[in-house]
Amino acid sequence: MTDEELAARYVAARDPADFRELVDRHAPLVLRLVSSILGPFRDTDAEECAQDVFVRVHERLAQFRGDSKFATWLYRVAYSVAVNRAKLARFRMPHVDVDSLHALTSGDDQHRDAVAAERASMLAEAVESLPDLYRTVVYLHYWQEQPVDEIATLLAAPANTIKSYLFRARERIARALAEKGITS
Amino acid sequence: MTVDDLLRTLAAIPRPRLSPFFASRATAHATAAAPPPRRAPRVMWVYWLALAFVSGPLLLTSWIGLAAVIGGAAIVASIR
Repeated sequence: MTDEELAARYVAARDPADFRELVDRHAPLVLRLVSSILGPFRDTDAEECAQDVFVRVHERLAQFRGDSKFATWLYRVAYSVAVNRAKLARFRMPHVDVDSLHALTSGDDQHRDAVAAERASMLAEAVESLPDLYRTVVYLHYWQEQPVDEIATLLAAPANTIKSYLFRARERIARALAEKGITS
Repeated sequence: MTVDDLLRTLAAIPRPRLSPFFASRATAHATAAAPPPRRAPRVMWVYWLALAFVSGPLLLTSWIGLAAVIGGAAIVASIR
C-alpha cells in the first residue's frame, strides 16, 4: 500500500496501526533531517523533535489532499517543525557543543590534537554561521553522509540546487576559515 | 587540507539513532492529542456575520439585548 493510500485509510478509519506504519516508514529519514537542522550532539532533542513532527502530521493529516507525494509533504512539515525548534534552542545555548568536537581527536599526539581541535572549533563556528538551509545541506551531506539525490528528496529541491547550495556553503566556509588564518 | 576534507571530518561525529519504541511512542502521542476543532463551512460564516451585523445594533441598544450577548459569549467561552 502506498503512503497516500495508507494516509487516506487512516483518516477514514483511524486505526492507529495505519499511522504507526507511516511512522515506521519515514521516522529514520525524518530523524536525519531534523538532526541536521538541530545540529550534532543534540540526540535527545532530535528524537523529541521527530516525535513532534509526527504529532503535527497527525493533526494536519486530514488536510493532506494528495497534491504532492505524502513523503514530500511530511518532510516539509518536518523542516518547519525543526527550524522553529532550532530557533528556540539557539536562545538557550550555542548550536554545537565545541568541547564534544574536541573530544573526537585521537589523544596520541598533543600538538596534532591541539591543531585538530582548533580546526574543529573553527570549522564548527564556520558551519554554524551559515544560513539555515546551507547548514542543513552541509550536515546532511557531510555528517549524515546522504547523497545529493536523497537530500534533494528531503528538501523537495532539484539535485542541481542542492549541489549549488553545497558549493556556496563551501565557499562561505573557506572564506570564514581564511579570515581566521586556516587556508586550503 | 581543502574545505571538503575538513567537512568530511564531520562524519566522525556520532549520529542519533531512533530508540526501539519510537514508533509506538510517537503514534501514542499523536493519536492521544485532541482532534482538531471542526470548522463551519464558509457559507455558515457568511450567515453568522450577516446576522451579527443586523442583530448587533438591535441587541446592543437595549439592556436585555446586551445581557443576551454577554451571556452568549460566556456560554461559548465555557464550552471551549
